[in-house]
Amino acid sequence: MGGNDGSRTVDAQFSEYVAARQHALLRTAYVLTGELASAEDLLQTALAKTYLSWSRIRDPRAADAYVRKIMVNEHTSWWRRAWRKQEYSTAELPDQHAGPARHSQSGVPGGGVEERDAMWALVQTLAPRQRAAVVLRFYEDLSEAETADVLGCSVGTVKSQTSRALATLRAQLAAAPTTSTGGAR
Amino acid sequence: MSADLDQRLRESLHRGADALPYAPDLTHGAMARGRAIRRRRRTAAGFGVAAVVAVAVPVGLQLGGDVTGTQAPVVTRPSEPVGPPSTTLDVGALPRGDTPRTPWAEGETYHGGGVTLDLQGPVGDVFRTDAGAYVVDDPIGPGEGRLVTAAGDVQRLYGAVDRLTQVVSSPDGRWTALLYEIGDPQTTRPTGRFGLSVFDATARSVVFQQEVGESYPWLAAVTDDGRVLVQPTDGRALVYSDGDLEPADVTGATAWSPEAGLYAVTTRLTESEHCTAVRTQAGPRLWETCDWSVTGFSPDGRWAYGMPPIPAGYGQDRVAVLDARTGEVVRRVTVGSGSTDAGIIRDHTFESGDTLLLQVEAGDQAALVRLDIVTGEAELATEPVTVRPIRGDTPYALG
Repeated sequence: MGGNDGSRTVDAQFSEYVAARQHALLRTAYVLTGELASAEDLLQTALAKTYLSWSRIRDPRAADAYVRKIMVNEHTSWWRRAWRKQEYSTAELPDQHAGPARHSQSGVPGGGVEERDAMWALVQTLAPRQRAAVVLRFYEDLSEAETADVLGCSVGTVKSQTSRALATLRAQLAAAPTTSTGGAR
Repeated sequence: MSADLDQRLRESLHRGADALPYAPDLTHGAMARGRAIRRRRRTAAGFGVAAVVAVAVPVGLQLGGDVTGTQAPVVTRPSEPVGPPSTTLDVGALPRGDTPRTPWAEGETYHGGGVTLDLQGPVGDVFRTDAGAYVVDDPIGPGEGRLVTAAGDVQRLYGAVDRLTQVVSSPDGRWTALLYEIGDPQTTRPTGRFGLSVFDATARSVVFQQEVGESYPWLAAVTDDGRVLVQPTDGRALVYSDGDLEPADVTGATAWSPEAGLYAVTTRLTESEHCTAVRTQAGPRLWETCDWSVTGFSPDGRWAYGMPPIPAGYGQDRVAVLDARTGEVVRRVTVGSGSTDAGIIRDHTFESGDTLLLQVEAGDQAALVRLDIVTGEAELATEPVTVRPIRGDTPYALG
């Protein structure tokens, strides 16, 4: 059975990579989606695509960035599809700022979640690109240039997306009851 | 205030991530999904290979491939026949030829039947169905199985949370069969169960829909008279015809040529070995090989397309065309660029009886390449394009 060594090596390398990095990547997916099942689905999707292109990832150290890129873009794509299915008639994607209804759904004011982390709930209400920018900048600690590379946009766009996200969070936190703490102290 | 907000945000995100429990190993699931994509494009080996990864089929699984005891003497081809005609495709050195004569997509643009169409969405597969209608699908993920007509009309072909795993059309484009993994309507996550839809382009509707098993069943063929041969993971293949799905007279089918009256069947499948036999519809085996797995026949049934027995998920370093009646390797194909950096073959389709269209990647360049099976002459059917790493996938789709 000649000729199988190549694919086996690829599979072995890929398996080793996933075993070593899965949990860290899943954390990123979870911060992006805010929901475990979706995070697992998002990561598996990204890993499947990474597996298909594993031969092109010469530097294993670049694999995290590769998976991260796919996750961010895939998550935005999912969100766009979900939005399309709602059959909205507007041409623009809604900038999903947190309104009272979203607050209520996420349980921020008046629910048990608020004591745990109002900020976390508010992040989940951000539009996906803004959320991605926030996650990459404040969770992954990427620079603005690195974030721009992942998002496939300019540094200026990263700055504006991040700025808008922070402004939204600041406004929502100010509007929320004072019992909504930031959590850890 | 700003620094405080930044810090609160940073702490919140890390605290949320810290609360995450350890998840089950996603490796095999990811590899199985990756291979399912390749299967859909007919570049992964046929029946059962994804199942080996996905459900850890016990070593030594034997698949007879025959339901009758009558067998002609089997010609077992020697391992790697000495000196089969070989062609090495060097994308950078090939001359430019005509654009493909079969449907294809580059990026989100479809070409085929004299029509160029902006599909306005990610493309997984393109298949001419009939009268200017085309099947497209998101490369991965649920819910985007679409039939887009030249007029821009869109029709859904399966459930919004289902994931397409394979689509095959009849040569005349009237019938299209789709296999998809059924999604849970509540969570949208895959259930591990698979469904079959049959679309009739003349009626412009899905005329049949039924669950067909678990662990990646395989579409072996769709014929001009509306028959569909689907091979579940275990047991006999099923044949759809005129509204009914009945057991077929074959087990382990990976390909079917009604024109030539031939089946390709898996005869042995382990984690390190995949053997294929070609038999007539009447029963007798004609030949068997463990060097190549046969995943399709040419439209006239003269040639069989062979892939490495244990395929790589991302594409193959070599493929072969075999004489369907004798198993002789008539053309062995690899990709090279004159350096040590060999390329891969990601997809193929028979453009005509003796012409193969291959989707080739070498380095960061991808192109569709036309290969004359008999002479070995090759030419570019498209200009090479740079692969976009962010998509994690190929810029082309072949119909």
